[in-house]
Amino acid sequence: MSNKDRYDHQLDGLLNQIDRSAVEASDAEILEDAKLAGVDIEANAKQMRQRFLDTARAFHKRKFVEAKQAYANEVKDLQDRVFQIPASPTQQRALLQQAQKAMSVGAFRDFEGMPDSDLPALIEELYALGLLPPEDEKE
Amino acid sequence: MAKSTAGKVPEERAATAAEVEAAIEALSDADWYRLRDFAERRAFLLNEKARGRDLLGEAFERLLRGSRKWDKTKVGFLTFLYGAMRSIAYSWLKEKVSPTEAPLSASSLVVENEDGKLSDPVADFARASVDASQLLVYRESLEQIDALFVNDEEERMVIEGFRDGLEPPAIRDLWGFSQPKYNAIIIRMRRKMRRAGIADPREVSRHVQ
Repeated sequence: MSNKDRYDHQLDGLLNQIDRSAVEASDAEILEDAKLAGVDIEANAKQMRQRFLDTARAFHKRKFVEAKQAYANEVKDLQDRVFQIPASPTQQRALLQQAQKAMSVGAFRDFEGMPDSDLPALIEELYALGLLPPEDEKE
Repeated sequence: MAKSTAGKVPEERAATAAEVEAAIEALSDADWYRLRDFAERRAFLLNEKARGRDLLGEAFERLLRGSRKWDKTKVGFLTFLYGAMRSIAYSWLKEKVSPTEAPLSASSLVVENEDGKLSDPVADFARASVDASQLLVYRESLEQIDALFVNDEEERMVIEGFRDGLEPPAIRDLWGFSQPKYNAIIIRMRRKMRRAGIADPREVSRHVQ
């Protein structure tokens, strides 16, 4: 098909050049364009700017609400999870041994000297952090 | 014209939400008119495919969604939006006319020429990429534009150059127009098209007969 019959190219080429002239036009020229077209340039800008800002703010608000909801879901999920805590402190310490290699936080390393009453909470914390294998993956 | 903003934009160069908001606030009244004018002219090119759609709004939403990123180190906000609108308009233009349009097997389009060589319909499609009915719509649009300039010889000379795919310097050389003379003609054409509703497809049939 020759360019003579490519009306799409011809129209696109023509509009591109008109676009170019508008893009490169001075502000004074554009103000005159708007005046001749019967457009109130200030009202047009005010309305468009507001629409864009509203859209942007609504979008960011939605993203914020989604992130907040995701966080709330995650917290609820953690609260709802039931961790299997071994009954005796000896068994609890044995379980903690499994996590020892993965632990790099100094405070946790000294669990041998921790009071028995703190052990279940530490186990829960380690489960939540993924440092202890889930029940069904244990050997 | 708008530089291409295609390609992956590294995260550190992509404008943040706050920077986008600041850019919106910084646009002048003339800039907002430029954007509207640009979007409406593209909508004229899209014709039916622009109906019920907001090209500028779509470009902006894609920026917010992150499917198009604005490389703030390369182009300004206006240029980014021009590029995005051009690209979206192009993709809308390539959409099928109707969702019920039946797909055609490329092999059914293969024809043999006089030398026994088979045609390549895929390559032909990539070159042509518009169907006859679409071309007819474009021809009618061009005729509407031509009708606007029928009484002005200089405008007709310039439009002829554009339709032949010539760039402005070549048109100026061809017809011996100085830069100011050429600019004056283009401004006249742009305003005439706007007044005739060329930038707004809903208005065309009413104004251009």
